Amino acid sequence: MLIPYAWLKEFVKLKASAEVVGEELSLATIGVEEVRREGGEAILNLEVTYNRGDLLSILGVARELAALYNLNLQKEEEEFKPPANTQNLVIKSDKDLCSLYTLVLIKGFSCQETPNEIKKRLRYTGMRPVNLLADITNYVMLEYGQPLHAFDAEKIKKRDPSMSIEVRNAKRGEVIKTLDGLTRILEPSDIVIADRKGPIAIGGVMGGKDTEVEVGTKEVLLEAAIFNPIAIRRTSRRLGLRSEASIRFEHYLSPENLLKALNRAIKLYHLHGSGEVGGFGQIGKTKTTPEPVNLDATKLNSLLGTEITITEARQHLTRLRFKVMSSTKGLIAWPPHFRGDIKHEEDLIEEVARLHGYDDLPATAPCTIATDTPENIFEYLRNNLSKLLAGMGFNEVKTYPFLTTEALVHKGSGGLLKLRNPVSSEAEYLKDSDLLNILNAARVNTPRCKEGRLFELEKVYPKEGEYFALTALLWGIAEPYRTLKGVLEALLTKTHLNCDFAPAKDNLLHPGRTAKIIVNNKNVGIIGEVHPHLAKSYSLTDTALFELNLESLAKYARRWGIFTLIPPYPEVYEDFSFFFPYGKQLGPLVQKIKTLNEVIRGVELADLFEREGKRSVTLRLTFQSSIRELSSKDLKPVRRKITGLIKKSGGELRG
Amino acid sequence: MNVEEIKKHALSEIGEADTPERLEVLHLKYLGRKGQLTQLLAEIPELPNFEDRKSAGIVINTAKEGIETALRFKDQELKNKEQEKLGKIKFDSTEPGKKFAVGSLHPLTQFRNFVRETFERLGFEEVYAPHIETDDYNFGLLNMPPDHPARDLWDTLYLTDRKLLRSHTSNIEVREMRKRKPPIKVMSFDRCFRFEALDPHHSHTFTQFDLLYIDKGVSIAHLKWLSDYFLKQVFGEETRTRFRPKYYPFVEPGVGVDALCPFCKGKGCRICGYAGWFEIAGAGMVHPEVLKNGGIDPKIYSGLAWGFGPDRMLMIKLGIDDIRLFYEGDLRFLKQF
Repeated sequence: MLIPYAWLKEFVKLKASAEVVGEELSLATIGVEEVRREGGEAILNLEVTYNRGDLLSILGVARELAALYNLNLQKEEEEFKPPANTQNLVIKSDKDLCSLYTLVLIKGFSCQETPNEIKKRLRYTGMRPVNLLADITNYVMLEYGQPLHAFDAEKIKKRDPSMSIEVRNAKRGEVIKTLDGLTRILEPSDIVIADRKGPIAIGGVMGGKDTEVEVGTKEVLLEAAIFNPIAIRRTSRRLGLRSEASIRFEHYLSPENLLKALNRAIKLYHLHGSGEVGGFGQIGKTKTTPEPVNLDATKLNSLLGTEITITEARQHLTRLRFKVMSSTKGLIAWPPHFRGDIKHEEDLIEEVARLHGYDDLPATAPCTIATDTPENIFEYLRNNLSKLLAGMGFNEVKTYPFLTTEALVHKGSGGLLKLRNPVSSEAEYLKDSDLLNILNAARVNTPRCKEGRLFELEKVYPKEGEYFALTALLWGIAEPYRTLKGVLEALLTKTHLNCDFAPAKDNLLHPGRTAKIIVNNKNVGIIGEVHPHLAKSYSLTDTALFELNLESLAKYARRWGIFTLIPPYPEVYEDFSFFFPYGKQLGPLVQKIKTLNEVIRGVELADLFEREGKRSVTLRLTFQSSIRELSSKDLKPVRRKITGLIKKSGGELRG
Repeated sequence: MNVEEIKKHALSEIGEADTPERLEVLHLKYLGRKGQLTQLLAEIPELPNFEDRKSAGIVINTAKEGIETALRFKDQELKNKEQEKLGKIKFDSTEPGKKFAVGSLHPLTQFRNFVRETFERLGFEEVYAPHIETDDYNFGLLNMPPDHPARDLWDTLYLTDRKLLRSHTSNIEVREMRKRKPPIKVMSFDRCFRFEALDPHHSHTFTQFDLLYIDKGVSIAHLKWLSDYFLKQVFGEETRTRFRPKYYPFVEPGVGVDALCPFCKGKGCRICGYAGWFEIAGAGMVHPEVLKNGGIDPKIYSGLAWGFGPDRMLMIKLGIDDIRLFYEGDLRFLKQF
């Protein structure tokens, strides 16, 4: 809301500069975006929020400032009362659509220009002057916050000589040509103002072209109404018509204020256009019946942490034009007619706090008993695995939760969650895995980095339900799959879990070099070389990736492993070298050897190479007994079992 | 061999020795447990008369001392030579070290850790709520029924009529109230989403932090203390903050928290948009209707909610000029943290 400062000063005799007043408003009432100067005129730009619709007017802001500075309010109009013997206009209305509907017939206009001062002020507040009759409705709306609409009465009479005005829901398929010249098809949820021929305005949203006032209009039917805010909101959104009027109708409006605005408009019509009241009709509630709200002195101070007296609270509320009475526990307050936002005790407390000064409220350290907070293994994993990966040279990235159109080319959008109102086609589908997003992040760096390591720990959104995934990627590194598997295995040792790998398929990964990650017989993720075609299209080579479901992992992971005593007897190392054909799985063989005998303390892959199509493997075993020193003879039976296992698994021992 | 000959031989051999290892061998040869002089000493008691035993002892011990001195001097000499040699090698100790890959945690992760630690010290517990959320938890139960105009404050991304991408982390509030009994002290540092086109200052994806504290007698004074406590840790002990009224439908009274611009100290500069202050956090006392929706009696309990946007706060703290840097994966940015 743009407020020309000079206009404001007509209502309240402020002495401070616009900047100082702006600062005061922002500290006690509402955000002030800026105070700017335009042609020597200071203009305040207020960020009016939903609760304070009354501040969408010069008068409303003046009332507020009068309270803040403890000044009197100037020249607020009386509520309109029709002169005696005024012709009665017949109106039909429905209180659910419109709590108050008034029409005033004003006759005898002589064609006149809008005064420059009014034009100037309209422009300052972002409105375009049109003609005197329309400009005055806008001017009064800005001043009092009550939207008004002027119909050309003679045009209505031509359509419907009886001038039977009705506020009703639109009929399905009903059509109206609005002031902007467009033809609008109406829905039953829209409110229309209609005569017997049909709609003459979309209530609260826009008038009809058919009954538009123009230069030369002699008779005006001036409408002031309080429409159902939800209906106005729905209609204006659906039609994409949000006007200064419709915005105000979405907020709370008071009938007292409406009648004051009406009086103001009629006076201005008379002053600038010589119009005289010739008819009046009204249907609905003309008085606000404010609900009293109790303020308990104890509650006031316990919520604010203060020692404010009821006397002080009373002063603040009185300045804000509340009616206040004492009660046993504190006071009872009736909000003024223009405040629709005061319903709870807490609302009153905010009013008192505002005038007391938010910035003067004390700061006190909280003091509570400890709460029972169980250990959170997910947090433990999240923090520790991230730190480990960073320690291993991986840089953490954060990518968007969406798949780009490029990513969708590789993946297809089938099975993905989709937004109904995406910002753009690049942010329409939610990612169900991080793979393509992290590839994209890698590519950002390829002009500078031939190799790199990235990880991300964020939510992914498959249809079955969102979860936190830990995704790591490396590129430009020899043997990417085995290198990354080493990283993964190192990470998993810190979760104190046994994990298995089994060959798997994924369209985006290498058809041969991909495995699922299994913990406690549950699939917790996937590791694989990125399909070479896909890697290439992201300008990457030798790329591998794993994705872990961190939430599944957290179900099994443990902070502490099982401690094994370190025996005082020396370790014995022995290598076992053998050919092992592709098509046989080395992983399970290693697992079997590990659990073969308690003297086997470790099995490590010491060497792996390929010659003439044959895979040659060297496993280095660590033997150690917890009861005595091992001799070569002691190991003989174990050794035989190991070689037996190797042969049974398809291995061929080398000399 | 008599003593003198042994000594002469020994001194000559020591003189020729050129390594500490050789010296060690010579030490053993003459003075070791089976060394030549040691053996002669062992033979003394076999000498028949006292005078002979006495003089032989003197002679052998003198020789022994002589050899020991020679060994010591030689040892020192070798050490000096070695030291001299080490000092003469061609080497530049200012050459850059061999590269050792170390990664980095994303600045928002590091900030998250910082924020968590800061509030964990006060007994707040990290909680999560779904990103794909129902309209109820995101709006309805937070005192914003359908068609409530205040919903316009959040440009929300919808999946269906009832499912949306949460537009703030405040969706933890009623969820946690329903799960727990007061005192409730929880926090959440997580992602949220809005209908915003990407530009240097706007993002459809961003981070939020939310603090919720419900107990008997919780007040705005506590809120102020917590807010100051945190902002001083982020921007320094001398940081000035101020409270002013701010409307959020799920709090009453509502609070906007400003921090004095750390760059111009309130004078107004380009970074703070010449305001002198940054609007840095939003807060308030949990609205009684929201407490009721969470199954908590507002007559007995009160609560505070406090939150901020970590992306923006970090941008202000570090002078980062484009929010997209957080989400693009450029290592030139990430490696600085």
